[in-house]
Amino acid sequence: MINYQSKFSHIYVEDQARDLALSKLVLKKFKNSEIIQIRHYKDIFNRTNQDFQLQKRAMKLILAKKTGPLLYPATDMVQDYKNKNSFYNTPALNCLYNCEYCFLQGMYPSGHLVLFVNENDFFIAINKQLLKLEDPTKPMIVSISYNSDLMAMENLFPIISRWIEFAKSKDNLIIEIRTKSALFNSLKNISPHKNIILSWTLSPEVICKEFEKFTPSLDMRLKAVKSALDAGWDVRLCFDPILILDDWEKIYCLFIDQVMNKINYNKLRDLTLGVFRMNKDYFNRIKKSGLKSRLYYEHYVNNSGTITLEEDLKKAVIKTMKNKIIEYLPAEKVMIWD
Amino acid sequence: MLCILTALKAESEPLINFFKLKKDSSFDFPVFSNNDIILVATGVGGKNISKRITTVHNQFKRFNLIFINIGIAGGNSKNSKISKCYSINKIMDERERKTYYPEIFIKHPFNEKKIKTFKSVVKSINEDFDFLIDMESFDIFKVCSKIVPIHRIVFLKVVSDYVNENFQKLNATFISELISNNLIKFKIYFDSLIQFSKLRSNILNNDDVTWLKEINKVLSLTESQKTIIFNKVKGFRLRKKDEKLPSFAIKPPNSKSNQKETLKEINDQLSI
Ligand code: SF4
Repeated sequence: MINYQSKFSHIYVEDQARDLALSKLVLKKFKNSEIIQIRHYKDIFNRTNQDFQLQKRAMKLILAKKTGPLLYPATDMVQDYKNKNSFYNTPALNCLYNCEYCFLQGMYPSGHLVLFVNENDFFIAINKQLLKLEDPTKPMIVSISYNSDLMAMENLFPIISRWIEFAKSKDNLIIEIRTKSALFNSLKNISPHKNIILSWTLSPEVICKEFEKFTPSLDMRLKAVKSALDAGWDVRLCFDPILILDDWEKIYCLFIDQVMNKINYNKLRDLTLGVFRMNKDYFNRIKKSGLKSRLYYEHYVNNSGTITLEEDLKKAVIKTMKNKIIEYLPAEKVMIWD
Repeated sequence: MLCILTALKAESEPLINFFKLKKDSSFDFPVFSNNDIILVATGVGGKNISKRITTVHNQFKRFNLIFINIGIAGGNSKNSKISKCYSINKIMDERERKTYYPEIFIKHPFNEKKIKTFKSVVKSINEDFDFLIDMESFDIFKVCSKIVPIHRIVFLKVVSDYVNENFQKLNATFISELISNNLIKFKIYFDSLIQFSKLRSNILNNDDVTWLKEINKVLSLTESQKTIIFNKVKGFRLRKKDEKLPSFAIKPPNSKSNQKETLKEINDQLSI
């Protein structure tokens, strides 16, 4: 048997990040890890000739200080909620899970986890932006787990609890925390607030099993969703990406029934739908890396640099899904990713 | 397959004996091997490293070589111990202009340390240093990282002397003894590494490759047709792990349209 190193067996610490509070907290937690001082996180993260998937198996942690930009305008790949004040940021790069369809595999040269420990700088960037919103009549929306799954790590690194406290103190800021985690318990001592959206990505169990490695089962995620709704949190559900397998219609219709029967769906804020789509370069890079996933050998089209389903099929999928969902939710609560 | 790189004869001898390596006379520099391990003598300093490593790599590339540099190093008596072997997690050059970080992904029975590579012998050092000292690691990483992924480069260094205290010329018997003291630990680590190097990373099996060659030969596929069918076969194999590829009694096509029809038929079959 091959004995891979355990998660975070090695922690690389940037010189300038070492003395920050979050670094100290993490280093205290991982006392047995090998600590290696580095000048800049890119000295590790951007090395050439790394193996992303192998690094996912023996993941190391990099503690770093993020320098600008600390806030990015939402791109096409981030839902903009028809709001010009939409942004995302990256308190962490990479994630504990390993979904086969994850674009991060094509975007990053490394599978190691980077944690930016200068959270105050992120907060300051948001404060500055709040003063110059393009549409001041609307709140600023920031997706804080675009390039990671922060809730999945909350027990290890208390990041979202700090973000929630920050967001609560603002009048016109909403933060979205997207997750597949079942660790809602990590927030049990925090009271819900209108400025925070907890977004759960859910997939039929066959998809969780085959394509969403290391993630909790659908059932566990549903328990977390239910707890959050019952506690009064604003919850969004994301059925995204919808994957077109044999029998997909049957699988997804049963899945929708299963989800709605387990939760009080009237309390949902909204629900988003999207089919598989990925930047062409990321897609090709992942395929070239030799990832053993059938997802990369299905039939897709290149739609202006995005690899996705053929338009007709995409429309049919969305229509089927939407028709089923509106048995439970009003149509205006269903949002579609283009 | 592992490729051990050693600088000194006294370092390589205990390894050759312990792992029962046989001399491979097809090279014009010292190379010894068995089924799982090759040992290459690189000589001291950076001079021969590049040529020898690339020559061996060219010959053995299909075996997913993992390079392991084993050798002696100087240490500091305050933080290292003579005869103890360390796995290296950071490699600096003399002026610390550039640093390399080996990717340590398999558990090993050693403590870890950083190392600094000097161009010439270091007899004393004016600091309370916490690293090992050698003359090869930096150049070895530099060369190997250009030809294999960085996780396939490993450094194991046995402390032979304390640089600040008792600098003395080391004799061959003592050096061999230092290496010998760590052979059992090397073996434990090597077993895991050998297993790792044998993991199959291909999506297609041998039968699939033969099937593709046959189709290609009979239908005289263009490059783009080849790519399409290659990807289709990969998709099929990932969906159906144990199923055989569909069998066809294919005749050489008598026209372009006939070739395209046959290809479409194959494509459809692979999509099921
Ligand atoms: S949970 Fe999200 S970020 Fe994490 S691997 Fe899956 S798709 Fe990627």
